Amino acid sequence: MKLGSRMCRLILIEFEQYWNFPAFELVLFAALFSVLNRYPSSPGNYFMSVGPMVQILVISVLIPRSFAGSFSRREMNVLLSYPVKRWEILASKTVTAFLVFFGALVFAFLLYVPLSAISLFSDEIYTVLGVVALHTAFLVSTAIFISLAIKNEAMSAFFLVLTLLGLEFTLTTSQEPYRYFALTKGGDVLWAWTWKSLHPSFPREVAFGQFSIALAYPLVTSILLIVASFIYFKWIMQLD
Amino acid sequence: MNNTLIYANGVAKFFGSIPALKSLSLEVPEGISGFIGANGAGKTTTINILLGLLKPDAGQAQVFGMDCWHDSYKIRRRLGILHEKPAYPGNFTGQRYLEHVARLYSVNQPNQRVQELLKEVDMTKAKDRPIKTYSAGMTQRLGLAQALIGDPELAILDEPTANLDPMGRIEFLEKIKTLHEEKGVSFFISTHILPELEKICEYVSIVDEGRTVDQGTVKFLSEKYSATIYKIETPNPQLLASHIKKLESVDDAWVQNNMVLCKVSNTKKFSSQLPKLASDLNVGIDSFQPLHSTLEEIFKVVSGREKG
Repeated sequence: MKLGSRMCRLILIEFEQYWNFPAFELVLFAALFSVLNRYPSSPGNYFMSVGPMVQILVISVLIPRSFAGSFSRREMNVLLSYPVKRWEILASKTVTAFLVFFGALVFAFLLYVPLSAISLFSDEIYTVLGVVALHTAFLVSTAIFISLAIKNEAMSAFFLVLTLLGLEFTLTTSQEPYRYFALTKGGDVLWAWTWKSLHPSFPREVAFGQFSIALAYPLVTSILLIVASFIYFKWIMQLD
Repeated sequence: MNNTLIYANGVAKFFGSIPALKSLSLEVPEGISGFIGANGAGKTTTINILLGLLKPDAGQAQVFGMDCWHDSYKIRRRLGILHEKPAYPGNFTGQRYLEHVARLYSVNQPNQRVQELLKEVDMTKAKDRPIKTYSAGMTQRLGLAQALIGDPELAILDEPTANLDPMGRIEFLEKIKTLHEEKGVSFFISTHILPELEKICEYVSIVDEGRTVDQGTVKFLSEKYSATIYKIETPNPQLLASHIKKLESVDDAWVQNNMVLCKVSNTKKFSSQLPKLASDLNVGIDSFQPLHSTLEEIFKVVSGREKG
């Protein structure tokens, strides 16, 4: 009971930090722009649009503020002086970041539904949101790991923007199977394969191997980076 | 000591190759204790070790008899802390922030507790203002409130008066004294501003260059150093000091503010040797008395800063 209550409180504190800083508005505007710019085409076209790029950019800039920034502002020292466990702080920050970034995209897709005359009960929108959730988890976990490693807000943001955008551009234009590591190509393959398995009449053909690569890369990377971040934060990290 | 709240033995901490603490030993009892040292002496590093934010490279550090690194969570449940230059979320109001902290401490009736504390630290009028609009003194009082919100057995205050004006310092320290007397909270106050601390402290630990140089009650330290440090007023302090140094009964002698200060190992012998020496040198002695040991003077003597 106490654990749940403390976690909720930490999430609330973190959420209010996003809410107070104009970060929340920025996340929301970016989500609306990245989703609605493809209106009224299929929601799956989100992956072949600027959507993933905008997502990379916004997460790369705002996650370091919450993580690396809290070290340089010494907010982390204050937080770690309260009777909360280290893993609770990291978990609450991670969950809040995921909810804010994914929540903004869900909101944008919900606006997209009536605009493009798709039914709210259409499984197409949920297939796309599932892939978006995976990509959000991948980007959030990468940004958290880098922020914890560098512990400097500006340097983390700079590193993340250059690395993630650079990787995305390089992978998109690379040969198979590496191109499916890119969020744009990988996302497109993921939703198309899922959609095809739900609706066999869908004309596109996607190989299972392509789907596996597109799924495994962000999933395994997210898990590894989150586990590494938790190990570092709980047992190794020291604050002077 | 069975009422020891903080215990450290041979604690060392290095940042790369730079030693922040070389060999720190503490035995801090209940009550109001001072932790004094110059800037860079290792006070904040020590506090961060006590809070479990830093892991000592060597030695043992305990609070309430528990290991500071491994049992940090259990310690923090019974502890309040006011950091040096604390950073609270600037967009929160003082009241909102304290409500969050109260819930993290699982305080019963958190809203009521927050109102009580706001009143106690005279922040009721400013409770609805964003923290970023607070003055240094108000932030410090908010810091004291959040340190006390969980009814701690021990509150650690790191340089609590550093950003305050003289009146603010006096008020702040009086508040601490009242809290100790009325609620029984023990305080461990790290500072390099000594005169105010002397008025409320019962016990003092002195740290210099990462080492504990002495510790004890203020009375004990005062007597200890009054008994050994003498000040001599003379028209020619340089000459007298250079010769006093050579006496068997004197460990060291130096000049400060046109006075000779000397550390005496054998007071009786020194009392008989000094007039003879002055007569031989043809130097007059205007006064000769033990140093009245304020905390500041004790600190200067113990840390060897008199000679600087």
